[in-house]
Amino acid sequence: MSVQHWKFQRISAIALIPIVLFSLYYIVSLGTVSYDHLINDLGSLNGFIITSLFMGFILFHSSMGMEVIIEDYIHSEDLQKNVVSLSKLFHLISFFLTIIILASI
Amino acid sequence: MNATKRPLSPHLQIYRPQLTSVLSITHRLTGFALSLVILLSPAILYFLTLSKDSHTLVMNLFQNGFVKLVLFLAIFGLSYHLCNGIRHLAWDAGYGLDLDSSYKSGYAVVATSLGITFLIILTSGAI
Repeated sequence: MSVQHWKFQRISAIALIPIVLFSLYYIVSLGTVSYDHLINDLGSLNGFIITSLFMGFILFHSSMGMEVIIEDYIHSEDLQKNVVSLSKLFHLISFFLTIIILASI
Repeated sequence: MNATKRPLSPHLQIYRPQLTSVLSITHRLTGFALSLVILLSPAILYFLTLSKDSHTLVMNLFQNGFVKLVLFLAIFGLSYHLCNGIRHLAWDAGYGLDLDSSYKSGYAVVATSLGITFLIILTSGAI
């Protein structure tokens, strides 16, 4: 399982390099993007695919990173398991909220 | 796990900070902070897309000095985590593991991430 975790953490990291560069560029230019323009971008099929991919990969990577941090600093086994589950739940909720928000544009 | 109160190794209280150890813990700190930002991001997305009024509200909030500072810190955190992440991937592939290369790549990561951050701050027209 740990080997899988290590592998997935790296695969998502590599995938995130181009996705983060593009999204960073877009997020920084948000100040110059009008509301109509933003709705047009995010409401398009491409916008939906890119944004959900970005959030999917980044939340997956974030969830795995959090898991390692929790395992390192919380030593009580029961508490550790519960906090990891809670963290995974928050990441899942965040992902589904993103999809719902994008779908309702 | 037994609940002995022995100090954990490495003994950080008496451990002299070095570039390599500081960069390592910074990777974890930025990762943790970025996780919090990304978990909250659906809320920002929601208000940005809800209506013209809520969009204006968020854009005005971004003009606030404190919010701007947090945003710039997040951008630095992201560019640092990205650059240092690439350094980690190179290590995983077996490149640059010796001490000399680790220091050189460490300085390169600090310089590049600071460069990206300043470039973004200057080109975003925020200042």
